[in-house]
Amino acid sequence: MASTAEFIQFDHISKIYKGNFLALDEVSFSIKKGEIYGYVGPNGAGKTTTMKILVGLIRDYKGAIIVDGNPIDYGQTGVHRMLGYLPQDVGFQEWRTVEHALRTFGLLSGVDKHALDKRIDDVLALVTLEGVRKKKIIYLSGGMQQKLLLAQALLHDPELLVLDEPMTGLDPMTRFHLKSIFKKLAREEGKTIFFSSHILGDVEDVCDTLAMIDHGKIVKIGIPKDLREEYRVQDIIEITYAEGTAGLNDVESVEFVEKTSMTEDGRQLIYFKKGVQDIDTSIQKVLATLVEQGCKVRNFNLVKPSLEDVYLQLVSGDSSDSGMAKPPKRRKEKRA
Amino acid sequence: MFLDELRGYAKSKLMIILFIGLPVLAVLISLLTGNYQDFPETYLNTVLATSFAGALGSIMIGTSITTEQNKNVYDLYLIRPVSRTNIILAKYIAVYCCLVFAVFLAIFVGSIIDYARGTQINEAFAKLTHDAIVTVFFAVAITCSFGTLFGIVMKSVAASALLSLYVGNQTSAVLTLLIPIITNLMAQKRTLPFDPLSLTMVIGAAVAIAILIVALVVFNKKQF
Repeated sequence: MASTAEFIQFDHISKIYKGNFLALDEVSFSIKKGEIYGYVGPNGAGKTTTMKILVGLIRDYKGAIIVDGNPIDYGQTGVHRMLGYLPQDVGFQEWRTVEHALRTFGLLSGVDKHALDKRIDDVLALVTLEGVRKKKIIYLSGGMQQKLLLAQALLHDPELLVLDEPMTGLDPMTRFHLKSIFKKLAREEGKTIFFSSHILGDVEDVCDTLAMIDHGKIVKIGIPKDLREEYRVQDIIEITYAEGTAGLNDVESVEFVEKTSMTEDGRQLIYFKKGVQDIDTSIQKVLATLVEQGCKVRNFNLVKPSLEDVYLQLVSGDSSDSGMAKPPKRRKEKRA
Repeated sequence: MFLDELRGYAKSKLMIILFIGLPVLAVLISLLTGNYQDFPETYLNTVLATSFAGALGSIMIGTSITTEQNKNVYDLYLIRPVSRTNIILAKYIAVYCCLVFAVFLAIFVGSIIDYARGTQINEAFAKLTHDAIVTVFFAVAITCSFGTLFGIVMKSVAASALLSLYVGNQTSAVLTLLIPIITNLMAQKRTLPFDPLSLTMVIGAAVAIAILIVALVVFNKKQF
């Protein structure tokens, strides 16, 4: 579990690139020890720049990064050993095998030569790449290369993992596997994970806290559950009827209902009026009305707002060019 | 890091071509030229090897650095406690060592051919061959330095290869001409108290080091 102590603090970080492009504008937030911290925003929002500043790839910035209460000093070897980084869009030298790459990175990270073989075994087992140990990296699939990137980040057993879009381009199975690894590392080994993703469903699945960034500014920080509640605009229930049953047809007769619509597969969506406080009572009244009207309800779900809904309200611009993955269906909470 | 890079470059296709190609070229030339006026194969191979190895070396280091930068390969190194200077120097020395080995391989084959033919190398050719062998080290160092610089500066692999090849080879070619130029100057003025070969070595080393320092400064200031 995450501790209450602040482990990493970004204190008013600003970064201006050539051409006077303001990539980060007074970005401030903090990450607790043992926490999985999600970082979301559209392409070009400043996610990668923030991460590159944290790992020391960009040194020319304003503001301060505080680690355990002290300003970060990249001149100290200990700082590099504390960090594990999975970069976005990175390649390996084509002549390297999986084992050779890990051996080189392990030695450069200061892993003891005698312990290195065992460590390589452990990280390859964790990311399920034991079978390709002797294989050249260029012959690995995209998913395997992504796992290898995670393996190199874990090799020196760092306290903090900085993962830049670790799940981009991966199939659902590999994403599921990586998410379970992240959870295991944080919950069982106490590692702190700071990761960005375009796939908000993945962020929602694993992170304890998340920050949303847009045009170089932090627009929201919070716990996913709280954010969903805070940005809940309208409650919707989705009803599946028994065959031959018509849906609710007298909307005006139900106090809290604003409108209804039918989905392509024949389910009815009932939209509650905005600002309804007692959703449970409202649902009861809708169900009572349905019974009165002779509707045979087979199943119903309360459609809860997802992180995508929150994101779309907070982040400006057209989502079609924001680089975000198409939002999955809203989360459903089964009630019957 | 040096041994790591050496292993990588030594196994690269281009270097394998060079290791096999230069000795094969030496044999082919000897077959084509025959034993022409007792012209020593060792000297011919030294000059040819310098030209080929220098050209391929500059292309190799230039394109590999540009490609690796474009693929963000260095991100994985720079987040670790290793200096940027070490990364580039390891590459430079690895390529240089591979090239020098390839050149010596070609010269060795040439001397075997000379020995088998029983070619008598006169004093003038012996001096020329000796000077050419010594100059090889510095010519290759210069082409590698230019390859490193253009590899760091350029974003296009093709541009990096062309510039490394052209500028590197032109500069190293000037170096090989320095000995006769200095010798002539000395003969005319009789005032230069330098040995032409030593002066060439000093100039070659200075140029190679200066270009390499510029490359290292640029790489150290780069934002990744």
